[in-house]
Amino acid sequence: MYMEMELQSIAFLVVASVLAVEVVLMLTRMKVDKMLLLMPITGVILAALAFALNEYREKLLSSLSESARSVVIYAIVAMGIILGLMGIVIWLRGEKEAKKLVATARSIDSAVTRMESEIRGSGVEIEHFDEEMSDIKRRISDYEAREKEV
Amino acid sequence: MVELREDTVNRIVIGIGGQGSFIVNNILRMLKRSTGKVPKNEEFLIIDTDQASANACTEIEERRKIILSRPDTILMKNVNQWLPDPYLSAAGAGCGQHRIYGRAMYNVHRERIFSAIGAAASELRNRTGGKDFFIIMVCAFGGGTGSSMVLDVAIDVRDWISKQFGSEPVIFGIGILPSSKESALPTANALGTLKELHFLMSHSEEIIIEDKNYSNPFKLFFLLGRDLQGQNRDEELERAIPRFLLDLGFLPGGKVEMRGKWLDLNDLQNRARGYENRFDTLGYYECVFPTEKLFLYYEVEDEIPVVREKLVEIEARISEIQGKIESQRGELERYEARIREAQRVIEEYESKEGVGLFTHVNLAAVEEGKTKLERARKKLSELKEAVFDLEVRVSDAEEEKRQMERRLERLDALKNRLLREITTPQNTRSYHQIELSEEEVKSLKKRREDMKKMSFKEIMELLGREDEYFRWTHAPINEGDIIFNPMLNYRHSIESTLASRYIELLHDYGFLEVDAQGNIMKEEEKLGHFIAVLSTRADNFDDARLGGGAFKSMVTERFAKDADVLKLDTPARAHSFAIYTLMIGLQPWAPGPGLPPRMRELEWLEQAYKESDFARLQRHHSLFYGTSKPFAIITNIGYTPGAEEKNRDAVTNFWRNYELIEPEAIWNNTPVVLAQCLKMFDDLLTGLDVAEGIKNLGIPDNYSIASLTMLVHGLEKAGKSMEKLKRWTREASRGFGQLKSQVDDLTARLKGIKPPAGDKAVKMLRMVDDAIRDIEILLDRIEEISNSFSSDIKVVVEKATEFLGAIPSKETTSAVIRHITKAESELSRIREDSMKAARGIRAIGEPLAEMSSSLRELKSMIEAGESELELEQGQGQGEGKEQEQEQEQMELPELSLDIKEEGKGEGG
Repeated sequence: MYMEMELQSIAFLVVASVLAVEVVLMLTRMKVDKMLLLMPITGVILAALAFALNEYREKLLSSLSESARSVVIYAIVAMGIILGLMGIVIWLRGEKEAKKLVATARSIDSAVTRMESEIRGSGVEIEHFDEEMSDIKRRISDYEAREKEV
Repeated sequence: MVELREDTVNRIVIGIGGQGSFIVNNILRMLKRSTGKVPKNEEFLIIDTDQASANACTEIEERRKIILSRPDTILMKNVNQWLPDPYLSAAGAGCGQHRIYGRAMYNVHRERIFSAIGAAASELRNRTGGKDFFIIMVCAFGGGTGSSMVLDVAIDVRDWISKQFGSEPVIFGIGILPSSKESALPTANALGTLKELHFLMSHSEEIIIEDKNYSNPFKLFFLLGRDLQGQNRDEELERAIPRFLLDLGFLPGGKVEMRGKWLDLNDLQNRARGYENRFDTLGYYECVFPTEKLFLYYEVEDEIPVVREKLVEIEARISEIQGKIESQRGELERYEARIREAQRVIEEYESKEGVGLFTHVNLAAVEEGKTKLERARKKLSELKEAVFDLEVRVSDAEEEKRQMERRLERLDALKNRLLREITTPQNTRSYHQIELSEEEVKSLKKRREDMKKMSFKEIMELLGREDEYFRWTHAPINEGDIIFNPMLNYRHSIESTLASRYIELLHDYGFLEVDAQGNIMKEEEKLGHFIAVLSTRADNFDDARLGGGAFKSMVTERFAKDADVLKLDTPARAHSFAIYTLMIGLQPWAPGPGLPPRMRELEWLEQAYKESDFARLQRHHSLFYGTSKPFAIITNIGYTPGAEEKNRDAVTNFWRNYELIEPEAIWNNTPVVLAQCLKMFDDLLTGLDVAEGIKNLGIPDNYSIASLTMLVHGLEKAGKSMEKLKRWTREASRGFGQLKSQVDDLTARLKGIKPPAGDKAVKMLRMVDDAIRDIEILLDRIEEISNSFSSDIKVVVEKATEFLGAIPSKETTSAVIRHITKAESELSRIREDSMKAARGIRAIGEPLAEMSSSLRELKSMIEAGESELELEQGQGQGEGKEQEQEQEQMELPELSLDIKEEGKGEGG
């Protein structure tokens, strides 16, 4: 029994720790909104609460039956885990959307760049025509001028 | 290989006035084209009063353009007290074609002109170190600027350079005479200029008055006409003058050839010695193979398909670009919508930030996306502009392409024109281009490269047209054609103007000789020196075909006192054969009174000059206005200091009466006048004989209808003859009146001029004596005829009346009565006309008697100059002449003063 209790608390502690890590990661790496941080923080609190209730169930939940105590504790842990998971899911969804937007912007940008080079290419080509035509014009004028000299 | 040495003679070419400047500009352009730069010993200047005209001379350095602005009337009057008020300003551009205004302008700007010319001369002197100067001055004689300044500039430049550098410059002048189609003002200006130039040229000795030397500054002065044989030749002038100066070494372009060069200034001066006081002219003839045209034609022919192909390619590529632009414009619009949509989505995504627990917004990504979109949007907007710009450029390119198509059409036309010019060239008297067939044009294309090395002769041999080559290159020399090809309307020989009957007379008296071909050889007719320079690549000459000295002999026998044919090897002229001629020492005046001048231009110049009355005549003159003292000293015509108008009128009057003829040449005219006298006397004698023949009318002895008819016919004929005689006596009287005034005029002009001596005087005396004797015979004959003519005719009339009265009355049928009436009316007319004719014959005697005294005066003038005259030759030789007359028809000789041969060609 003593062993079961300990194991449960350890598990709750692990959950609380994982959730705490999530909070830290979210804060440091994932740069989430403060509001979204509330979820894993709540999860951490719930896990810690579940741990505390589990440790001191005799004192704190003495009015409840054994099975009711377990239900309450597990429910709290589950709530904590769900909040932690939800935080991740919402973050992932937000990130996915952001990636999509960036990809769209990038593709538009590169398409515009491609078009730009195409248009510039056409410009260069026209410039080339101009040069060719000027060359022909010069040659014809040259012939005309030479006609006067011969 | 022609050796070259540095040319150290300082050469200055000065164009004065519009046309002179234009020609100098042309010379410089051609020089730059042939040598690439202006040699350090050559300077080109222009002097003009018309800014626009000077601006058009783009080859001339700005600092070498002496543009003279019109001064205000106050300055003009201050500098030129002598200038009449109407000429204080001028209408139109420049000098307004008023030479008197040009002179005033020269006086105002003299210092400026000299500082510019002096600066050029000093620079040349410093650059080359040489002290010899050769100056060419070019101007038109019709305008106001060039014609009015050329003499003063020449005198002043000569004096300045002589003083400054101690060596008198050699000055050549080139004057362009106006065409017959120009208005009276420039045409008369030209005669004014010629008179002044001729006056200066007649003074070879130094005449220094008021620090100015009025002696002839020109070593040679070439006169060139703007129209030759009635056709405008401006184009030829523009081509020929630079060619002359550049090709013949007047402007050798920095280097002079030591070998193969015919002409240097000393050589030319030696040849011109003795003729400095006479005008000269140039002649130019060129036969060319149209290599340049042909090569250009080939190039154009090859170019056309290339250009056409290129244009097709450009057209295809332009439409491709147009398609691209169209799709790019659609793409741009689509992307614009996409950007807007993406921005909206980003904004929407971004707006979720901080909204609730269940959202996550990656702000960095948002920022990146927004940045990229913004950049794309900006680019897009730039691209839209670029596409618009591209569209404009494509449209421009299309327009350009269309223009190119038109140019291609022009090129096509140019090709056709070139082919036409090659196959049917417009040849003139001075320019002959070999005509090629289209087959020859095609076949020669394959030999293009070879042709570049071949000579003209070799190409013609290749075409099998060698004979034609010689006909157009060597034959004009052998046959003497080039002598008739000056750039002036010049008649070399009296035979082109004088009627053959006068030629016979002059020949009889030994004033001219006729060769076996009937060509006249007259020493006085000949020009001084004729130089023909054949210029082509050496292998185009065929000495055997040039006929050795035959041409020289022919020219010296008939046209020139001395002649040379010189060959000039010009390697650059492989496909042309040019003949340049210099005719030195022309005699532009008429060979005799009543004859046209040798220089035909004088005909229209004199006519235009005469159109101006005395007051307007001063417009056409320049020299000596305002310089009364030198004028008075040189001409011995007095002047009144301060009386500007009087002095000016004296100058105008002097120029009006100035004749463009050498005094000696007036004596050369004398035989022509005497020939006219002798011919007219001879004709008068014939006419009198014919007149006498009228009385020989046969009157039948016995009546018959046939004899009556014959008498009526005879009387009709005699009546007509009498009528003719009556008119003839009137014309003869007038003709002799004119002849008398001509003799008087000649005698008056000869006064003070040294008469000829020796053989010429003897011949003239013989002519005068014959003429005097003829007059005596004629006077006797006239006296005799005028006394007897009426009575002789009266006898004939009486005899005829007697015959008519003796007709039996039984024979008087209506037909006979008609005949009798007719005969009586003819008799009455004959009687009346005979009295008038007799009076007319008597009237001829009056001018004849007066002419006798004029001829005696002429005789005494000749005798005065001929102290050792051998009189034995004077008598008897003319007596042998027989006078034949035709009595069958009443043909009375023409007794007018028309000594010109009708219908004879020009130039010969």
